[in-house]
Amino acid sequence: MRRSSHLLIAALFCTAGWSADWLTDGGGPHRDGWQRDEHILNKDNVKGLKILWKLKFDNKPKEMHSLFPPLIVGRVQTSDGPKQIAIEAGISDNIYAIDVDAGKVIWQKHFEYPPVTEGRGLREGDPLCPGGLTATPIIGEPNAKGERTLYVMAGDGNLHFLNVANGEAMHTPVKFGFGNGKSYALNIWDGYIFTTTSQGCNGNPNQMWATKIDPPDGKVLTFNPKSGGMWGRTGAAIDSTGRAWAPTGDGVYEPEKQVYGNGLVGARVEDGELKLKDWFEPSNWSWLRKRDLDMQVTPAIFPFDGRELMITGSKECRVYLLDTNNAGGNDHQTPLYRTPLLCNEEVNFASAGIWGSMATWKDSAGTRWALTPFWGPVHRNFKPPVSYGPVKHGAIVAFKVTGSNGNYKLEPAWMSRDMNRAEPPLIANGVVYAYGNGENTEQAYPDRGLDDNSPERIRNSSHVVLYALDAETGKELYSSGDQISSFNHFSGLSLANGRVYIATFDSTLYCFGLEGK
Amino acid sequence: MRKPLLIALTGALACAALWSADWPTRSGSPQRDGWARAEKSFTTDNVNGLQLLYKYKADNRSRGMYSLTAPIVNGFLITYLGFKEMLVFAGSDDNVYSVDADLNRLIWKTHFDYKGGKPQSKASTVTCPGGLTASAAMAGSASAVFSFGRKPPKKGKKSPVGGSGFGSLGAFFAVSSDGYLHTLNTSTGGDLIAPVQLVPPNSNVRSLNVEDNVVYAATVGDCGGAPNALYAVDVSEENKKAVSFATNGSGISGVGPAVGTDGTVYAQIASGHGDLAGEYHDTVLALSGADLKVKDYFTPSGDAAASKSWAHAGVTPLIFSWKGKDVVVAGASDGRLYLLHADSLGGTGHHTPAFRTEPIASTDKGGEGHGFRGAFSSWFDSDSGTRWVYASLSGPPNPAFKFPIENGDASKGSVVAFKVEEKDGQTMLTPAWISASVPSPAPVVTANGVVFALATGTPASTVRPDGKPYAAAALQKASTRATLYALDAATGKQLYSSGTTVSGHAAGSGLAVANGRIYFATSDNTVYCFGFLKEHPQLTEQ
Repeated sequence: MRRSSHLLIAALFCTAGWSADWLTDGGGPHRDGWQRDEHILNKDNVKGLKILWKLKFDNKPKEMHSLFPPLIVGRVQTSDGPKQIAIEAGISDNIYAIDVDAGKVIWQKHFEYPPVTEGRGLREGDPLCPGGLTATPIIGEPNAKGERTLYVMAGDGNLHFLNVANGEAMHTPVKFGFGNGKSYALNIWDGYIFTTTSQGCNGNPNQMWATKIDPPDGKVLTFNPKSGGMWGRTGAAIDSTGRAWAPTGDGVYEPEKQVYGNGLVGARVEDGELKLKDWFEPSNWSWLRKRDLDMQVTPAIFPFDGRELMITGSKECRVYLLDTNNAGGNDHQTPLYRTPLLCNEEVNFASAGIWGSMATWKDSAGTRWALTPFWGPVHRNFKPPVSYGPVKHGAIVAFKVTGSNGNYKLEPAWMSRDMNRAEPPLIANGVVYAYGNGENTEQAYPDRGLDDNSPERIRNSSHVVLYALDAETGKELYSSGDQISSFNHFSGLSLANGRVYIATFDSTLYCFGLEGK
Repeated sequence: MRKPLLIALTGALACAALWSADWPTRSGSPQRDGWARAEKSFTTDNVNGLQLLYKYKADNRSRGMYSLTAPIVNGFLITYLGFKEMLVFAGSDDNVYSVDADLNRLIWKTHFDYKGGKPQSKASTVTCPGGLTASAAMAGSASAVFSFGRKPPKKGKKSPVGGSGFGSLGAFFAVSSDGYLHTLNTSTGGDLIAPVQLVPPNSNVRSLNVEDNVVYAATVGDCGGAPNALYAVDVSEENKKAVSFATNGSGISGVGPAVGTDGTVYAQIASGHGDLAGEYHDTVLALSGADLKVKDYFTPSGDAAASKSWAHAGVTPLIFSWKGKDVVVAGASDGRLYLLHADSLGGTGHHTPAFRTEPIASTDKGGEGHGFRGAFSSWFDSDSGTRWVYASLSGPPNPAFKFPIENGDASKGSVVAFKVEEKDGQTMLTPAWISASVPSPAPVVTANGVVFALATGTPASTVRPDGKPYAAAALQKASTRATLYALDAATGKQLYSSGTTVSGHAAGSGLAVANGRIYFATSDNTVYCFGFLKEHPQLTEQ
């Protein structure tokens, strides 16, 4: 009996200590997609994943957007006691807080505001500019009272400060962006919140934005690379010195005119300004521009060999390895390493290439891994040592980061099975979680040319399939098959405490886990 | 909702204009001015480093001397396969090819099955080779001030077939050997609309021209049992019916008709007759675009051409803007160049040009193939404020005609250059230079101060001294390899020669220049592409 008590206390202690979080899109400011604190799901048991619950929200999709990756706080003190809470944001200015143990909404909020009159308006049917809430929110560290703030940017450009426990405002909103301006996932560093914008939606400038949140001073700082849009899926990744790195999308490169299209820029808050500190520009940027192969992949930042490195890519379908302290070398065009083309031999701007963001982790043996998703068929000349059948629609590729003293390489390790539009993966406890989003990605048609329209793409989309892969071999350990009924667009995965979350276009949030765990 | 779309499109078009020059038709524009206006890659300083970027070998079957037509380039297309710069050319075996110009990969190939009312001609002569003979064309201009030359429709006009907006399909036009005009989907090569009978089956068709949805085609050689004529059809009309204008004599000179900026069609006819102009000899006709009615004409005074045979392939009139008005340059078999005001080609008597040069070409005594060939080229050098005119001269120049700059022996053919100048209120062509030998030159192209010339490698004359055409086999045997030259546009100095790089001759082909690349086709069904490898890393990097 005494022994049982000790075990129970130990178990409770461990449970409390296990309360892993997923506070931001991409898992952290470095956007490495690595859940370091997962102890429930592993290579051996992940094959037993089930849908623990699914919640359909009253969120109305806009264009192809619906729900964003949920944020998870492992332990939140609520009026009903401590809870593990997931925060789900919806494009129609909705926030839902879910008790993940019960699979029930405990509070929800809808941001009301007058119709946005600034800007030039939106075009119905345009998937690029949906309007509404487009940036995955972010959750801050607890304050002295243990309260956590949820930072949410509503569709009118106002930044809201909500208490994660109950949804109540913790501060008056501050104007941070442009209404219907298509902001990307929020990030936080050293008391400032960051976002990026793209596609000039509603006339919004395509730039990096930052504003002080601790405490808010209402001053908006921006850096504009004068490009087609900073549409890295998870916004800016922030390195250990506070430089926010974001891809600049399509555009020309004229550094003498401070024009940095088709590159990756790093800007930092200094002296009350958001200042460009460094940048990388692929040497073939004009080719990327000509074929609309944007640099649009949020980098993943990680320590390696006493340095801080990052990986990024583009629709061209190469991965670049860069040093955050000297991205691109003296000419800004020399990466530490550049892979050959992994995919997109047909040079397709819409349905091939690397989209979204990257991921990285370090295994117990000290090997640093870098992962990228891609869309479309694998390049016929890319032959990783391990693969799992023909890849026609997309896959995850894992590299080992090797080398020393600045002479580094990305050595292909494995390529996953075929996935229908593979999206940015995340890694937890030796397992890679990835998914094919099932989205129809066509933007041009044989009979019409360019005609990127949401209704047709929605009609022709299929459904998400979630996969779990052995992180060291890429072997499939689990597939959700046909269990998920809808696709998603510009969303993502979240994982904490034995639960994997994915949201779909039909405004449904799926929670996968192990029954009884 | 329209305003934001318009803003977005305008922005997109502006961006597109930065990188996407077209070469939409033979000689680059409806005005046949052979000017790659947007070209910046080539300079007089760097063009000596030209490299062969690639060769594309087409699976086309040659007919007689002819295989592939002069290429055209669509610099910017958004297709279901991605953003593309398309290199498009037709093949004598009723084929049209679209090649990814950046990557040297076939995008699509279309073959036209023969559906003519008469049997398909199996014979192939120099005059009537049979098969598909005309270069493909698309709307637009390489020399338009607005470098994204596929302009939206004029007020009151319908949108071009395939659309004119950002990312719209557009269309390529090609005439198959059965005489049907095909309006091809740029993305797939399929027929966008039902083919229209434009010319008689088995015609020998000069390069097409396109303006305001009207496609023009000229036939030569009296092939297929049909007399020579100029044909036109408005593909935007619901009831598409071709109209024609018979020359009652030789075919339209040069590479076909030119179209002025107001839509007037200009065609030169070496011999023949018409109701208004009477007997033609090197007569320049101005015709209404819609129905091909003669509006005006100019016939050089003096004797008619010594020979009115097939040998007089002649030259297409050039149109350019001078002081806000269209000016026409024509070359005649008397070896002179004529400068004509478009609003009154030859004055009240139709024989008085605005200016004429002394004879530049040596006299063709019959069958030698001397004289102006193909088409002119013209550009405006904004740095010096000079309007230049270039002509391709087959055979030797007139020894009595002197150029301030001579670059060596030009006895086998050359490029000659003139400045357009005003003196005492008269617009005139002032001789500037003559190149060294460019044998049997195709029409030249001007790009950023460089003149690109192509020695076709074919004999100057395609006819025997008795005026009858050589057999194709004999001409093939007499032909040698084509050679690409780059000349200083201001002096004619040779800056580059492809030497022995090219293996076949280039009969019937011509140059296309767009986005840092120069193209032409040769008799062995190969398209050559020259440029600078460093500007096209996608060709060498995986």
